Amino acid sequence: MNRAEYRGIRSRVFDILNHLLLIMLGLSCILPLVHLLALSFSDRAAATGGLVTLWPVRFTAITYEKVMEAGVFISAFWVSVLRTVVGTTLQMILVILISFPLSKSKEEMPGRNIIMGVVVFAYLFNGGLIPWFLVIKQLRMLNTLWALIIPQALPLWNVILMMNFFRRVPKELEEASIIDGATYWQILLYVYLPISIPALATLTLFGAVGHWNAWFDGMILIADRDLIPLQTFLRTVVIKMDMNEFMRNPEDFGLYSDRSLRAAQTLVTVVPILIVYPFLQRYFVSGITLGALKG
Amino acid sequence: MSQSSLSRRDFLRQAAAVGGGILVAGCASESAPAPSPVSSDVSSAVGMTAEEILTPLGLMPGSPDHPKGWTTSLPDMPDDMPVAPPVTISSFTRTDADTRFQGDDTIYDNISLRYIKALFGSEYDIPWTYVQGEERDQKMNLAMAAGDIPDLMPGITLSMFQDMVEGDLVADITDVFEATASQQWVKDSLEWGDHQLWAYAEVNGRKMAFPSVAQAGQDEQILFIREDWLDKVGMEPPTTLDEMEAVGEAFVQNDLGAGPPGTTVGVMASRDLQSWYGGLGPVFGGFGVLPSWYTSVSTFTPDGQGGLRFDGIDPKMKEALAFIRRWYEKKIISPDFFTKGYQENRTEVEGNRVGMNLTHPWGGVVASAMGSMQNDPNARWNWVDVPTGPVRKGKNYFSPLRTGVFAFKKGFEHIDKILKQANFEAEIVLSPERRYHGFEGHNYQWVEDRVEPLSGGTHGYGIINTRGGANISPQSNMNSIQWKLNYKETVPRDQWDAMMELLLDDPTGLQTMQDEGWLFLAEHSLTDTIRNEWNGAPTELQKEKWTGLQKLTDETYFGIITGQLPVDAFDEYVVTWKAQGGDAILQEINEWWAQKS
Repeated sequence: MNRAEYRGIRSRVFDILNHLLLIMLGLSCILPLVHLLALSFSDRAAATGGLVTLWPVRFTAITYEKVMEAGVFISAFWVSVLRTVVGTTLQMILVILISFPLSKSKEEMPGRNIIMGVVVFAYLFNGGLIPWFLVIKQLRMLNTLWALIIPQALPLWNVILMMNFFRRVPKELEEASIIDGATYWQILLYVYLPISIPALATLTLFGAVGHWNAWFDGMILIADRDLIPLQTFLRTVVIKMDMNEFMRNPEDFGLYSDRSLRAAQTLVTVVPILIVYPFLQRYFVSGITLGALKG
Repeated sequence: MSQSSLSRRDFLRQAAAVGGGILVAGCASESAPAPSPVSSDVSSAVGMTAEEILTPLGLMPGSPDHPKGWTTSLPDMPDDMPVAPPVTISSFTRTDADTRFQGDDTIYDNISLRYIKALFGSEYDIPWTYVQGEERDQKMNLAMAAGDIPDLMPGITLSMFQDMVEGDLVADITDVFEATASQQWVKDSLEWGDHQLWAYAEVNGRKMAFPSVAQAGQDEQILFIREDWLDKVGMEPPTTLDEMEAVGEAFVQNDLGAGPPGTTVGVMASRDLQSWYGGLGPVFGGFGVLPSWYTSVSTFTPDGQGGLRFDGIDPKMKEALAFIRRWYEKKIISPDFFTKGYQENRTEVEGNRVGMNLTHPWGGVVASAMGSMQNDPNARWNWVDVPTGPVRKGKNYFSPLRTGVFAFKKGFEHIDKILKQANFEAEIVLSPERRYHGFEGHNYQWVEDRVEPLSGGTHGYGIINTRGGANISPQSNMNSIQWKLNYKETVPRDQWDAMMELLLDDPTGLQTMQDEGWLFLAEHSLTDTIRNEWNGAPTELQKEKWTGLQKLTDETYFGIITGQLPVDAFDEYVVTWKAQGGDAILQEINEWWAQKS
């Protein structure tokens, strides 16, 4: 065996090991989901008895029927979709509109430091649950879809992130645009935003995931069945009883251990966000490779 | 650059206008859809019977018109009811996985609400619902902050209730209770167990709330055992702890479990040494002592000298721990039992890897045998009484007094209406011969000449039979079971109506097993149990110290059982426990006890 052949074999062994390792890593991510899928299609007793691995035992789709029962699931799903789309869009518009002027120096943007101070203060300190609730109540937003959207419309951490990203955009781009006669709106729309796609994609993802997963605000602010978001509704479908509470009606435990139902719920919740991820990931890559200035 | 500075200002103004505009648009939309009103005409119905009121509205329970149907007989109407015009009562309610309604009914408008409104003229308005206790407390806090306290607050926690009493926010119901509550159905029922059901709801001799009552024996344990495994090892059901050890050892050595080799569990044990499912309470009880129930501040039992002692530091506790340590060494209990709660243990039992489980009849049948037999048709379960230990036969006594109460807002005018409704409903609950089985199309449906149960159906509003809430008497379930078994014996099989067929036909025998278990527990609840006598509200000292003491206790107990600590570590633990505030707490509790006695 000559050296070249030896190197070839070594490299092939490395490749195989590398692939094996990557396959195992991949499986470790996928198998839990497959297990969940199998659980969700399995008979309740088999799931509770821990007999299900990667294939359904005594196949049944009753869990999905249960999750979607009563029509509330469908309306809750749409409420979640709506709040995610509207809420995230609104978040992005406000974050961009506030972080762009804040990214300028105080000479360019009079009062910038004061506004920044307010932003940082509000980011660091908040009034707590009761004042938050009272404000929303006083604004008469309780039991409206807006209660799920407006209070989260301006995530201040995102403002700080976006502002720092805008600050890293080369000054020369803005100056060149001004010389060409662009207004600030045009500079923002045609220069800053296209360059900032990675940051926008990240913040959009933060916003969308946050809205999709939020259940607490739905629980506190919404009483109307038709306006309850998905996560809040699912909580009532698969809730665990608190073992320390002395409320042990036999009936209460009927669904407590329903692992198959919980698996179905998890999948229903996870799938829409899983679908969104790959689309946004494309922008992370293309955004980063965007070249603005050369030389 | 003047143009630039102008456009900058313009830009800011426009940006603010866009952002602000969206905010304003958001606030403008405020239509909060109100729960749709329950429709029924209740004017001039006073003086009519319940049947006369309900039948024309299609709200009468029972199915008298079917060949194998039955008739529900409702109690006499309360005086001056239904109230006209109807009164509105705001009250939150619990919802969860089992809350289901038929047709277009919702938690805000359903057959129960229509029935209540028609009979009593009371309209329940539900401002919000909750799933778990923590959520209810949070929403109650918000409601108090916003000045929106509901008229009736079902099942609120003791500490919240105490705060509300101090804040003068709840109504004193003593007088209206005396004047309105039915002697036979409500007052006498709540005198069960020497007035103990009032322990929380009475403050300084005044009734400040309505008590929350559970079923007698609800969390007490019996020993569920795999009969087919006993046959395989040729042994009898154990009657003593030593026999239980021998049976458990035989199960493990023969590896009878359905899991991988070596995973058979002889006796189920839980990370909560005392719990209703797989708790080892009756094993400790055999030594005359009990560990704490979950994380609650218990167990304080009479010390024989007029005071209370803490079982957790008693020398007999050391013996009990050494005994269970031996089970652990012999692998009779699971090697990682200290990580397992109800959920994990139920998986073991239903996966057919467990031979014996100390639980109550519901846990042994619905949360064990049913799933276990589905997974292995050859599995056979049965139950026996808990075994006797070296000192006695002993297990946890379950107090049917729940730690929540039904409080009423101070100034609320219609407490009498709620109590009258309670009189009526209590009579139904305590009289199984009235044959209340809910509503056709909601609780059950007819399929030819059989009835099938429907999920959910009705929902309780008020103070009786509310979800996750109260009953009226700790004995009501026993009454129903006894009546049912009596019917089975006295009425010939061919004369059963369709509902009784549904309730009594029991091809697997599991329902009967559960019923008999309940009756057994209720009958023996006072004799074979060790009763925690301390049921006061926790003091500041206890709130501050108990978590630390509980942690110390858990670490010591688990350390000794699993062999990480020598058995004698118990002596050191006792000294530390006393020094770290245990003695002071014990003194407080004894002062409380002396005052109570």
